Order: sequence, then structure tokens, then C-alpha cells
Amino acid sequence: MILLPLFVGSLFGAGTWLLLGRSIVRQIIGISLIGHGANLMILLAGGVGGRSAPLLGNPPPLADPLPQALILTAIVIGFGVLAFLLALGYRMHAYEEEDP
Amino acid sequence: MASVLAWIPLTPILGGLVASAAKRSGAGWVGLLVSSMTVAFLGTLVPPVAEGGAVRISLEWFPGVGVRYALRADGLGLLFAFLVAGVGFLIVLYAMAYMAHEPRTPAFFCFLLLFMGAMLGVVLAEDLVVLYLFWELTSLASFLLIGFHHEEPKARQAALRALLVTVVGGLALLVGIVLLAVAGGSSQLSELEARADRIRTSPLYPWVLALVFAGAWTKSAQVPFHFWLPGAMVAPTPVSAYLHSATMVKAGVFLLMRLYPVLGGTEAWAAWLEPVGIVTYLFGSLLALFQDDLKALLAYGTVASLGLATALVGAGPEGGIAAMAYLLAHAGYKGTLFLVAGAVEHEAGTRRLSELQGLGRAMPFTAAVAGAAILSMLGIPGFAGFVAKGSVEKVLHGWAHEAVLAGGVLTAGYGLRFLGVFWGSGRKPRGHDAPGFLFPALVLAMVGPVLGLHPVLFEQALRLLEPEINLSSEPVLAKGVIPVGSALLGAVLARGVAGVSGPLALPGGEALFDRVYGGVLGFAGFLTRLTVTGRLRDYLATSLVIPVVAAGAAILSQGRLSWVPVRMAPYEGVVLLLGLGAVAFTVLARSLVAQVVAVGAVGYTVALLYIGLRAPDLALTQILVETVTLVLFLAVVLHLRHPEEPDRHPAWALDLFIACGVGALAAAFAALILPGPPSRHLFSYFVQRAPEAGGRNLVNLIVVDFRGLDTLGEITVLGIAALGVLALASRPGMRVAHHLVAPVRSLILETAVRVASPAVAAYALVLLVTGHYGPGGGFVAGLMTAMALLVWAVAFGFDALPQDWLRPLAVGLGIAYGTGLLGTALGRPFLAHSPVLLGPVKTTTSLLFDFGVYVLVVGATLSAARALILVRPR
Amino acid sequence: MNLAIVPVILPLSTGVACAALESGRARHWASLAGALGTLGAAAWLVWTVRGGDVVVLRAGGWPAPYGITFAVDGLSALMCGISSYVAAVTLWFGMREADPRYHRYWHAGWHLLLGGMNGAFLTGDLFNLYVFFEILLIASYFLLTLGTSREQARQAFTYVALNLVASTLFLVAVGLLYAATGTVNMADLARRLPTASQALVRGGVVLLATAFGLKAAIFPLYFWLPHAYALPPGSVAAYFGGMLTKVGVYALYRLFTTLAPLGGPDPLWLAVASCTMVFGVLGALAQEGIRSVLAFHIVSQIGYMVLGFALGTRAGVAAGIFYVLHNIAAKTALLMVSGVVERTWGTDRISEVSGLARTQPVLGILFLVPAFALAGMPPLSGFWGKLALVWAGIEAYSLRPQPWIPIALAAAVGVSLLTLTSMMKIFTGAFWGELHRRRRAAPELLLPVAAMAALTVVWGLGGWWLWDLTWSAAGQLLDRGPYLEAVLGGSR
Repeated sequence: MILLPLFVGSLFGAGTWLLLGRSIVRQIIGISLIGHGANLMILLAGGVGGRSAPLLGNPPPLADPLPQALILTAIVIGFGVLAFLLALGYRMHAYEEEDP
Repeated sequence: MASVLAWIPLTPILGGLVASAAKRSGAGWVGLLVSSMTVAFLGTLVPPVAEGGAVRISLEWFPGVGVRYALRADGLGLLFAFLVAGVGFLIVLYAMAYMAHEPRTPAFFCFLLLFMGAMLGVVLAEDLVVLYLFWELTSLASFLLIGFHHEEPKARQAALRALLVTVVGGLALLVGIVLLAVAGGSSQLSELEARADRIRTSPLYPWVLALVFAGAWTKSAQVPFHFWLPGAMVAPTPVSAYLHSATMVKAGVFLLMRLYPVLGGTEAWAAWLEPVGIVTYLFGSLLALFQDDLKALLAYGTVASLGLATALVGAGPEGGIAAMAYLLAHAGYKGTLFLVAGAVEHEAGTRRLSELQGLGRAMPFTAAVAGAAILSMLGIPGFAGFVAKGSVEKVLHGWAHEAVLAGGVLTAGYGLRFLGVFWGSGRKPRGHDAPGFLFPALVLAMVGPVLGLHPVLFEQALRLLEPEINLSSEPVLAKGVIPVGSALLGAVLARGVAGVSGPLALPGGEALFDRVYGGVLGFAGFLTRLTVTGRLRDYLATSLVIPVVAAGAAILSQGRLSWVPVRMAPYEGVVLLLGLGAVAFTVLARSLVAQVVAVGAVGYTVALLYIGLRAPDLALTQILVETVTLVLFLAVVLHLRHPEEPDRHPAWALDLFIACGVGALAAAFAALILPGPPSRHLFSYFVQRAPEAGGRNLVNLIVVDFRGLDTLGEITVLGIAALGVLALASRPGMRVAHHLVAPVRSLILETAVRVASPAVAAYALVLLVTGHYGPGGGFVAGLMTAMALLVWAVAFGFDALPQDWLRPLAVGLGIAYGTGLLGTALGRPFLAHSPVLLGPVKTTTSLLFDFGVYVLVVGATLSAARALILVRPR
Repeated sequence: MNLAIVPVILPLSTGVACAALESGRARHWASLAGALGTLGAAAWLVWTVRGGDVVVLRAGGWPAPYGITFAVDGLSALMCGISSYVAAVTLWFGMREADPRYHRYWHAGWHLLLGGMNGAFLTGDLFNLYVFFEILLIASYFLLTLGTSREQARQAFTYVALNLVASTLFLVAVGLLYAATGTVNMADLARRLPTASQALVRGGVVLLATAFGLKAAIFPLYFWLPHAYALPPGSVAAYFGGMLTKVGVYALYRLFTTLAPLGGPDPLWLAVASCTMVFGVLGALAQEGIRSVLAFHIVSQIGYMVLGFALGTRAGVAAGIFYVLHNIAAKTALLMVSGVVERTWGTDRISEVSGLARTQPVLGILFLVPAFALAGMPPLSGFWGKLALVWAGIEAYSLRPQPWIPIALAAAVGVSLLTLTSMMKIFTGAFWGELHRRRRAAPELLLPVAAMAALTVVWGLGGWWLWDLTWSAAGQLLDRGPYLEAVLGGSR
């Protein structure tokens, strides 16, 4: 289906657009979007289409659990880095406020 | 015997290290000791070499690049080695007097001895790479010595210039040696000599020749590489006498002599060496004639002499012997003259010819010594120079012969100008003969008459080189006419030149060198400003364009691509449309807050998408993470007091282009990977082993068991991120914003929270424990608990919660790491889980691991949240 | 077998402990113990694999490629060893320099970074490599922002943003390669990549090369480096400058030998190497401060390391690895010296200091020796590295006469001359000359520098034993049979 790749592409494209801008917070937003895109890309790597959640006992075919596990890790890492980035970005603004 | 050989270059080097640690007065004595030891060692090598053999030693050093510590003492090497060590001894003696008031004598003698050892290594090397190694060491030592008085800018400049020129030559030599080793199959001289014919006819031969010449000519200051030598005269006089006259500058000529058996004898060899040498001889002599500084005069004279020697080497094997004779004589007289120049400078306070005269009355013995040296230089019968000149003239033919005659007149000219400082009437100048200076100079000067009056001795020395040598006694009267005549002509010249005011400033390579140097620096600056702009945007653009282009090309180059149609439920379609809308809104929204909310919406749609794609754990995590992220974003954004800069760069069209490129590539990749991997072997394994791992939720099993190490890493990242936020917040200029610490006063909120928070926390614990069987797990549980706690803090104030969340952060990591080590304690691999019985419940240590994750997530989230939400600039 | 996890888990635990401990003394002891313990474990690893073995650790007890495997071959062990040494020495160096307010964070960050780097070197799983990259990255962001000024924060943000882009590229690449092969284990990938969908494989390799290349500061992705390393305190700059870019270089080596071998001299990478060498050294010549000069030299020297694997032969790879190790030693020492100069004289601009060698000759020697080593002067380590590269290049040229090979070799030789020029410009400008301000640097600052500079001498005079190690490592990288056998063993 065409919408799925289109969505992934839009995440990357919009994220890049914001990242290339000048405002720091918008850049962080852009990073966030790109991160979503990357995660989605990995999930898609396991294949899509008509399956059930990867729990033993569900009707086969099961969805591929490995990409899901990888993305979990990626989400958590991204979360950590994002929180740090926000703190850093805020710190930079605080400098502006101290002596603009 | 052979082992003595191995130590010869090393002894002075080690001696230098000792000298550097010695006391001021002791350093010189170390030098004397070391150089005499070296002479003694060399002496032991004479008997076998005198019979026509050679002493060799070859030790393995660096087999990986085929380099051996291989030395060879044959006639050529031994003669030069004696020169280096013997003159070195005298120089040390001289320097002890010359540098008597110098505080840094340990450093001086250290460098000098370092040089001596390196030079010995050059002349005794059998492996060409080892030769190069020592060659560069001599350049380094020369650098340190020229720049010894580095408080003076001229010294620094001269040292740098000398170093760069000789290193350029050295690098050329290195490449030449490498090519030679390729052509000849080895870097050992003896093997190369055996294959000389092959080498001389190899296509690499011209390159090798050119590069070796470059190396030799830079070292021996041949035209056009001569310009560094006069500048090097800022060095202390012992250095000038030793390095830049008697030894180092001869290394180039030595190299040519050494490589003659391998490279020499071809037309190219003579065709290049003779002209360059003769031109240098004439040019140098001419320049010497017009100098005002005693040392500069001698320096140019040395350039000239080296030119003559080079030309001689070009002439073939007899030329080599003549060159050796010439160089030996030269060492005697030139060295003496330098020492005399130093003595004059020391006593009379200046080196300028125009300011010196009549010194003969103040320093008669010094004048006599200088006279003897000059007589040798002029080639007057009875001195070594005459014998040497005899063999020179036998070798050179044709125009070279005439040129040498002309040069002889010029040489006489500048020699007599030098001597001129001792002439003259007028007031007796100050100064006296200093024994410390005089003695070494005298010894060196003695070389002239001793070898001159006893040519047999001269022959004996040269026998080392070539057993059947015959410096047949020249008819003194007949041959003697030429030098005497040249001397008279020279005297006329000298008189004439003395009237010319000022030194002749001929353009040297210096200007060119400086121009090139400046040009390189300028270009460097320009290029750097162009590429390293300092703007993040430029960097991002480059970093994105390259993979887009390269990856795009990679895809397109694969020809036909198949697109597998994939069925999707209408639910997913709707979610995707929502998502696209949210993305559009994020880009187009005007206010920062709206954009933040929009990106949150995107996150939520992605979570919905995860549900559609059958990833429940993922969806749960995503929702939670997105919520917390949204809160953090808002906390930061809502407290920005100043509005952010105007958003776009003027060249936004480029940004758009890049963004579309990235998006298109991403979409293409997404489409390509939709079918999924061709092999599901990991998948099947997980399904198979799940019961053994004790669970049904495959994703959770992978996270805490199969790929537990990833999770360990991920929580470490979280922990570090939280530490980072804490560190950023705990800097000066930040304070806790008390108005935020205080609770929101609202009874409804408080009641709701009193019920909701504990409930959520309890549910979280349930999720933690049942993670193996359904969506859940440590991270989700931790995040939910953290959110519950944060909501509690909003309702009751942050003071209602503990202040230190660093401790749980550390404890959580500790538990997780500890669980991993638990396995090793039981002799199993790291992070291998073991079954555990909790009452009736059978589980594994993965639960403990998950618990660690849980604790960490709570600690990290709360630390970071507190810091981000509460701390404000003053 | 479990030995392989020690260089990772020990520093991570030490880092956590340092963050959590309240008492400064306890923290000092923990830090010291952790650094020495890690160094010991790493040294033991190097010793164990020196004969060509591969130490394999199956985390969780699950066999490869299903679980995460640490696969320690010669290259991994050597990198792990040098990083532990650098971490210990720079920690020693910086201990006094660290702002006491950030004491706990500083020590924690040092060890956490080491743990991340060691994990990256030792792991045999591509996604796990991503995770360890993230650990070391966030630790580096952390250290970079400790006690920062406004300008530093801005530079830090640039650094972070670029690395995030690189990380994303890495992640997407993992996805692509998984979609192509169904695995993320490196050995398994090595087996399966040749027969997988080449569109995805090529795309994945390109993205990985970009991500690693950004980290390694190759041309043209090197622009971030000079700014990032110019401002932090001396010990941080030494730690980062010595090791961080080398993680990217390691990853490139792994990519182009174990995963997707080049199979011989590769013109693209030879061109990249040449440009990196040249642009880097030209940048250095244009700088005014010692630290900035050194930062650009980092870039230039990376070019030499890229040349190693770009030649695609065993000799090339071995020479490249040797060069990496030598360079780490020389660079770290030089950066520490610049740190000493800043700390003692307050500035590192060449125009503002002079005569440093007068007051403290030892400092002059400590600069001169690694500077000569960096420029490839004999008999120090850099000379052998350069010579080995030249030999390898000539040998590769006779195998496959690529025009870029002689260009790259000419660049290598020419750049070493320019490197010497640049180093001597600093030396004659700052260390020689009129005595400017009479100060003496504390001896405890100089000892760590000596510990680092000594390596260049040891590997110079006695470099053959290091060469044996790198030769063996190169063999393992190019002939992957034993590696695959050791990691995948009996499993299908």
C-alpha cells in the first residue's frame, strides 16, 4: 500500500526540513520526527500484512518480534537523548536570557 | 668485532642522554669520553678492513617491513666514521671552551652527541632504511643545534628552514629508497649491489636517481638547494664547524659514493652530477668572495667544495677516490678556518670582515694556524690540499677541468680575504690567543702539512678505500705553479673585492622558499574557511546530501525493482491519513507550542499504527514515552521567555530540496523493505525456545532474555541522559523555582490523584510481573509509575516526593548489572538467566533484571523531570 | 569467556558508582580501581587473542546469531586495550583539572564513556553496536556539557545534532540489512550479505559508511570536529581527540573487512583517504591555537587510517591498524601537552606564548617527541606506520594498478611533510623564543603525558611486536573463516 512508505517519507522529509531551520526547539522537533521515521522503518523491515501480535498462542502467522524489540530499545534510547537535548536547548536559551 | 660495530652509532647517542643529565661542567667531559671511545672502537675495526674486507652485522629489527639493523664497516664507511668521530672529539674540546659561559651546555652536548651517533649511523648503514633513519636524525639534530639560541628569531627561522629543506630531501630519499628496494628486491645494500645491472636497466631507475639526487643535493646544499646553509651559520660556531662543514653536509656526497656501486656508472649519473657540481663550485666560490661575514664566507666556500666533490663522484670510481681525498683535506682546512672564525668572533667581538683587521698582532698563533689552513686550501705544495688537488685534476677532463682552474682562482680569492683580517696596520686590536680555541684548531690544521709532506700517510688512509691506490708523487715544481699562480691572481681579486662595499646580495632560494611557504599558508586558510563554515545547517546539509545521493544511486543502479503489493486494513489507512495530517501540521503551524502539540499528535498516531501493525508492547511504550516527552517539551517551551529567531534561512529552497530528497529516499527504502526478510531463522529460534526462557510474550523475551544486553545498554543510556540533565541543571545561575514546587491547590485534583496514582502504580507493578505473558515489562511499568509520581507531585507539590532520585537510578542500574553478573557467578555466560522459584510461581532471573529496569526508569525519569521542570535561571 | 564482558561492565559499574557515591575519597578509589581493573582485563584480552584466536561470549547463554555475541578478535582486543589505557591516563591527567562541583559527574562520565567504547569494540552484533554507540555518544555529550560556557553549549549542540543524524542513519541501515538478510549478527551478516538483495545491501552499506564516516571525521564529513574539540578542557579534549573518532574508524574497518569486504584497492576510499589527509593538514596550517591545529591534524591522520583499509590487502589493513594505535598515542599526548600549556599559561595561542621550553625543558621534549612521531619521523612509531603504508600501497599497486594508489601515497608522504611543518611551527613559535612568562607546570600533569608519549618511543624502537599483533589482526579481518567458525560455530 502506498500510504505507508509515503508516511515514512513524510516523517523524514518534514523532520529534515525542520532540522535545517534555525530555531533550536524546532530542530529538536525535527529530530523527533526523524526518529519516528527510523523506528517505523525498522518495524517495516520485519514485513507487514495480516498477522497477529507476537505472543505464543496467537494464531499464526505471528508478526516478527525482533524488529519490535529493536525498536523498543531505539525508542527508549531516543527518549533519553531527547530529554537531554531539551535540557541542553533550554540551557542555551538560558544563556541568551542571562546576557542576550 | 661485529658487536662493537653495532654499538658505534649508539654509543654517542646514549652518551648524549647521559650528557643531558650531567652537570654544566661535566657534560663536555662526557662528550670527550664518548668520542674517544668511538674512535677506539673504530680503531679495532681497521685491521680486517685494511686487508680489503669489511665488518658487517645484521640484526633482525622489523621483519614486517623488511628492515634489519644492518651495519657495514668498509673502507668508505670507516674513513668517514673516523672523520666524524675524530673531528667530533676536537669539536667537543673546542666547544668546552667556546660555550664556557653558556648555561645550557648539557642540552648542547646532548644534541651534539646525538648528531654524532646519527652521522655514524649514516656512514655505517648497510640497510638503506636504517640509513634513511639516521639521515633524518641528523636533520633533527641539526635543527636543534641551529636553533640552540632560540631566543633570536633568526635562529628559529634558520632552523625551521634548514629542517624543512632537508626533510623534503629526506622524504624524496625515502621514496627513492623504497622504489630502489622494489627494483632490487631488498633494502640491504649488499643485495642491491649484486643486482646492480638489473636495477640500472629497470624502468624505475630514472625515478630512483632523481629522488636520490634530490636527497643528496638538499643535504649537501647543492644549487638550487643551497640557500639553507648560509642561514644555518647562526648556530654556535662549533656546530657550524662540525655539522655544516666537516660532516653532515658531506652526507649527501657520501650517499652518492655509497650508492655508486648500485646506481652509478650510467650516462645519466655523470650527466647530472658533473654539471650540477661544477656549477655549484663556481657559484659558491663566487658568492663566497663577496661575503662580509666570516662564517658566511666559509659557508659558501663549503657549498662550493661540496659541489666539486659531487662533480668528482659523477666522474666514476677514480673520481670517488679523488673526492675522498679532497674531502679529507677539506675537513682539515675548513674545519680549522671555522674554529678560527669562532675564535676571532669570541675575541674581537665581530665576524664582519669590514670591521676586522690587523688581528695578526693580537692573535699571532691563531693567524699562523689560519695561514696553514689557507695554504692547504689553496693547494700549495707541501700541504694536503695539493695532493688532493692533484688527484682531482687527474680525474676531471674537458670543460670541467677549466672550470676547476677558474674556481681555484676564486677560492684563492676568498681564502686570502679571510686571511686578510690578520693583516693590516693601525691600532692593535683587542683579543689574544686562547688555548682552548687554539689547540683543536691547531690539531686540525696539522692535517694539512702532515698529510701534505707525507703523501704516503695519505695513501695509507685511502688504502682503506681502494687497496691499489697510488697518489703518485706529483712533480712539485711543475704542478706547484698552478696553485701559486692562482693564489697570486686570487690576491688581486681579493684586493679588488675589498673595495666593493657591502656583501653581494644574490637572490637565493630563500625568497622563493618564503614565497612558497606563505602561499601554502594562504591557500590553507582559504580552503578551511570554505569548508569549515561553523554553521550547523551547512554540516547537516552535507551529511544528508551525501547518503541520499549515494544510496539513491545504489538503488537506481540495481535496475528493476519489484514492488510487492501489501494488503492493509482500512484502520491502518485512516491512521496513516491522520498521521500525514499531523506531520503537515507540525511543519506548517506558526507557533512553537502548536508545533509541539502537533509532534505529540504524530507520536500518538504512530502508536496507533503500531497497534495496526501488531506490535502491542511497542504501542504501549510509544504512548507512554510520547506523553512524557510532550510534558517535557511543553515544560521547556512554555518557559522560554524570549521568542525564538526567525525560522528560515534565506536559502530555504535548498532546504526544501534536500528535505524532499531525504523523504523520497526514505519512502523508497520503506517500499523496498515491505516484503520482509528472506530468512526467518531468528524468528523460528525464538518461537522454539520461548518456553525454555519462560514466557509467551516474544518481544519481552527478546528484550530481557535473548537480547538482554541491548536492554542493559538502553537503560545505561537513559541513566546517563538523566545524569546529563541533572548536571546541566546543577550549574551556577540556576535555582529551584519555588512557585512550581508548591502544589496546585485544588481539592478535586487532590482527591482524584489520591485514588488514581496508587492505582496506576499498582497496575504498573502488575505489568512488570506479567511482562513475560502479555504486553508490559520493566520499562512500561517504570514509566507508568514515574508518571503516577509526577502527577502526585503536581497535585501535592514536589516537596511531597523525595528529592533525591539519583539513588534509585544507580540502584536500578546496579540491579540490572548485578543480575547479569549473577550468571557469571554461577559459571554461566553474562546475563544468562536461571530459573527461580518464587513460592508457587516459576520464573527466571529475568524478572529481577526487569525489576532493575523498572527502578532505573523511575529514578531517571524523575531526576530528569525534576531538573527540567523545576530549575530555572536566576 | 566471561573475561570479554569485564572491560564493559566494569567501567559501566564504576561510572554508576562514581555518580552515586557521596564521599569524594570513596569516589577516587572507586575510579582508580575501575580504571586499573579495566586496563588489566583489556590487556589480558590482547594477550589471549594474540595468536589469532577469537574470544566469544554469548550473552544470555544464547548462541549466535540468535542472541548477542561478543566476538573479540585481534582488532577488537587491540582497540579495547588502547582505549582502556587512554582512559586511565587521561583520567589521571584530568583529575586535578576537573571542576570540583562536577566531580561526581566527571568521574562517572569518564568511565561510562569507556564502557561504551569497549562495548562497541568487542560486540559482534550490529544492533548491539548501535546501542553501545549510543552509550558512548551520550556519555560524550554529557562530558562535553559539564561546566560549559555559552559558546561551548552551542558547539555541543552542533555536535549532538550531527551525531543524532548519524545515529538515525545507522538505525535505518540496520533495518535495511535486516530486511535483506533476516539477521543482525555480524558474522551471520557476513555470510548472508553477498546473496541478499543488493539494492538494500548497498543502501545499507552506504548509510553505515556515512554514519561511521561522520563519527570518524573523514572527508567531507569532518567539519564538526575542530569546533567540538577546541573548547572543552584539556583532559576531555585529549580523551575525545585520542579515542572518539577512532571508534568510527574501527567501525569502518569492521564494515569493510568483516561485513562487506572491499576485496582489493578501492578507488573511492583511496580518494576519500587522500582528500582527508590533505584537507586536514591544510586546515591545521591555517590555525592559530595549538588545540585547533591538533584538532585538524586529527582529521588529517584519519586519512592515513582510511588508506589502510582502502588498500584492501592484508599488508594495508595491518599498516592501517598499526597507524591507528600509534596515532592514538601521539595525538593524546599532544593534546595533553596543549592542555598543560593552557592550564599553566592561560592560553594556547601560539602568538601569545613563547619560550616554554626555557622554563620547562621537559615540556618541550614531551611535545617534540609525539610531534615527530605524528609527522612520521624515524625512529618513532609514526615512521614505521607510514613506511608500512607505503610498502602496502606499492604491493597493492602491483596487484591492481589503480591510479588512485600513487596519488594517495604521494599525499601520504607530502602530508607528513606538511604535518612536520605545522608541528615545528608550533614548536618554534611557542616552545622556543624569548621567555614570556616564567611558570612551571605541575609534575603530576607531566607524568601522564610522559606515559602516553612513551608509547611512541616504545613502538618506535620496538615496534615489531606491535606489528606482529596488527598483522595477525589483519589476517583475521580479511580471512573471515576462523572468525565465522568461532562465532557461529555449530549453529546453522
